[in-house]
Amino acid sequence: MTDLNGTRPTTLEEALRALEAAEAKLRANEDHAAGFKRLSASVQQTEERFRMLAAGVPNHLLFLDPDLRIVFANDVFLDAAGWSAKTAIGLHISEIMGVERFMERQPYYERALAGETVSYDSMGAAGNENGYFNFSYRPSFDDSGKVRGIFSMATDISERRKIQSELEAKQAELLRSNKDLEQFAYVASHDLKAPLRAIELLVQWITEGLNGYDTNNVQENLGLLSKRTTRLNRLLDDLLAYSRAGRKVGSHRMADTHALVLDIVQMLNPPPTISISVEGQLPKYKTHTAPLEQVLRNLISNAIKHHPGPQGRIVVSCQEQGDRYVYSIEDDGEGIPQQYAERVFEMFQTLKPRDQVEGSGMGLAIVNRIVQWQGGRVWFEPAPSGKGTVFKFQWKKNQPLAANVETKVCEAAG
Amino acid sequence: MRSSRVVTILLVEDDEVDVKALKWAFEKLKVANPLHIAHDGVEALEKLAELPRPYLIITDINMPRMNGIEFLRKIRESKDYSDSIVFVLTTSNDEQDKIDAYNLNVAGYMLKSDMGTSFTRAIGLIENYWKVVEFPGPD
Repeated sequence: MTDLNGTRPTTLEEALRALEAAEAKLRANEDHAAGFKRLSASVQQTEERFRMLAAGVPNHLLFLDPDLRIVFANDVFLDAAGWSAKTAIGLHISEIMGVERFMERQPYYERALAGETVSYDSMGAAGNENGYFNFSYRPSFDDSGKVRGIFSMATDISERRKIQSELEAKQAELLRSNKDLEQFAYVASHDLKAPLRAIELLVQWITEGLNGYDTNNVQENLGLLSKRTTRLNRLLDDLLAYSRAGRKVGSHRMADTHALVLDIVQMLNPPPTISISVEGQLPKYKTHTAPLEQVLRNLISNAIKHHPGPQGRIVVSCQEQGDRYVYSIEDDGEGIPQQYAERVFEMFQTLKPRDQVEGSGMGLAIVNRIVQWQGGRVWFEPAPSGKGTVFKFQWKKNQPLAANVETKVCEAAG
Repeated sequence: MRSSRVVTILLVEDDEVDVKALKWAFEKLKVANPLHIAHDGVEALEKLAELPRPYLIITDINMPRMNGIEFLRKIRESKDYSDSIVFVLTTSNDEQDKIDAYNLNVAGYMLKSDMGTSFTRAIGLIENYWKVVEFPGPD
């Protein structure tokens, strides 16, 4: 008999001690085995929990080895990509996402493999090419601090982005309407007050003139008085039209825009010295006719009103551009310096004193508001002939717009 | 030494009734100084080029093309007119307009609505101003 150290016991006592020691070791080994059993059960449990977790989250989860081959993929990813676990494990990531996209994302993988946690947003992930995703690559380190793989997670943020962009649009609309309100308050304190003050002055002068206190020309002052009341009236009308622009959209119906322009011209009744023509055939399509008519009428009437004369030529035309039409109203008038490109579309802005050309300064502000509401834009350019201006605006085809509640209520009430 | 030369007035105003009211106030007060009229900031800048010194500017704020504040900014930036004496006479009771105008060194900001039905108080003030105050630059 030898003890565990290989030395033969010399006495019985020694033999007994060796036996006890051997027994203790045996027990310890049994404990080890039980411990190992418990440990492995716990590992299995952990792994089971991890799998459940991985299957339960809505994100794509992958574990990639340092060669970017798939070690683990959750069901969300496999279902979306249309692979089974068996076929996907061991594949290189580029075989799943395609070489082109891999080239795009390779720099991020490389940064993660270098030990950095990387996060970025990009379009397209397995099974959803048009969705927006957040990608996060988290390196996993072994005991020696070497990267042994990347834990990759893709989160669908399309909904969040949609809500965010809706929020941004609403905020922009709010800012715009706030700016309108501010401008309105400013305008109310000046543009509406100015004619009122003038009326006050004129009445005073006329009274003084009639009482013989003053040599002021009563006839002339009465003329001015009448002009100012007309101006005040128009300001109020146009202010109302502006506040309604983009609200009272009217019905969505077939519009022959060629006939529409001819009607507008006839209604505006331009002086015989100004010729208005339509180039080619203007399109016929379903749209909200009333706002389109207002835009065309304002632009054509502007071209007539601001023409210095004596002879004038105005040409209306239209070009198709994808999902919209671009209408042009060209005149051979004085032209507008480019520096006023923005100002002319603001409320109550005129380029000439109102005493020279009667106007509220609201016409183009109304046009701008309607066109923007419809999703297009309006601008002006120097006329190609070198003399005059072309106003252009975009009008979307076939786009029924939800009339907002207010309009419905108005129409129902009216 | 007080300048013995007559002060020329440049009135920048787009409203013909207000122009008339101001002219009338000049007449009433028997102020015979030469009066030039511009209808907005752009025209005022053009007129300034041929205005004899000493001169004084009375400007409105809300005007076509170039408003009174933009006009003030332009002359303060220019090398030839930065020393101009300018009064503002406007309907704008807007706080920001007042701040902007005084930041651009106007001699006074007057509201048309405070003038009642005649501008004689405003013109009286301006007349006294040029009788008492030294004007910049050579005579």
